[in-house]
Amino acid sequence: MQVPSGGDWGMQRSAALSFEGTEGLTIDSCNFRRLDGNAVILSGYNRNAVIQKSDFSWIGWAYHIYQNKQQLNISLSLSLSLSLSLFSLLSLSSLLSLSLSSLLSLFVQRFGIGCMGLHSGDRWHRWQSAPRHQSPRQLFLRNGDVRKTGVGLVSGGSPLYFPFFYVFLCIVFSLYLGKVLSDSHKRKHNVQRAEGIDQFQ
Amino acid sequence: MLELLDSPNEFYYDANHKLLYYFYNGTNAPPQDFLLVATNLKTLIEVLGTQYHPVSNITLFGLNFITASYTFLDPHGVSPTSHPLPLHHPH
Repeated sequence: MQVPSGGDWGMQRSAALSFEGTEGLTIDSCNFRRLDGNAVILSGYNRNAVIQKSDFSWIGWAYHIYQNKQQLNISLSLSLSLSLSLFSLLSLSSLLSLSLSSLLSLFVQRFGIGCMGLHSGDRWHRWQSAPRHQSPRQLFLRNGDVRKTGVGLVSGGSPLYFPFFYVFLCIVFSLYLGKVLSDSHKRKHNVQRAEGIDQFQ
Repeated sequence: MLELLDSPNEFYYDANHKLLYYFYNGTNAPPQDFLLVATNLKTLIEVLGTQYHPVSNITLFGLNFITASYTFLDPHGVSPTSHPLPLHHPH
């Protein structure tokens, strides 16, 4: 879907060097200067790519882009399975949800979901991917010099795809549920105590 | 339009007369060693493989990549999976 403007985070999925479907790509000791767009994009399936000892200067947009070809909702499955596992452990009652979460975990392990950190210069960026077969993996950025670029390293992914986000939500919900139950118990206990006091008087 | 040429680094190409107008800085003439580079290529190298037929073991060593054409005005796109970064899909 195209929009007239991408806004501050708008970006072209193209670059001076565009790679898709590669294995063992190495960019070594190269200079990128005055590219009025993106410098390097690794899109979709890329394995064991190395970008090292390269100099990026006066780049209009990003110097590296790692973009998933597709993003499926498999991460949602993993999040759901983790949430169900946590819920099972907390409640210790639902064996069905535990087995269901195990099945979902196996499914996710089979088809893959990953998150990793990429380091370039002084910047860390979290990179998340949904389907393992359609996203760049095993990337190495090292000994690079980056200056005067429009945008830093850009990576695909969304917080909503990050499984820990759902785990965090599950923990918050569990704590909230525990507080509600605790308050309800206290209220009931206090009412019983009050009734007992009334009877005593 | 030539009339809109009023800021440094703006240019206008008159295709009929094959003249390139360039607004240097508004005050002085460009120096003698002024170098003007006109770009047209947006993608210098494109390697396209697939997961089942990947392009393997490519090494780019010691190359200089300079002055690709700007893509700032290219259309942008958004991912169908509510991606936070709107992306341009050229293909």
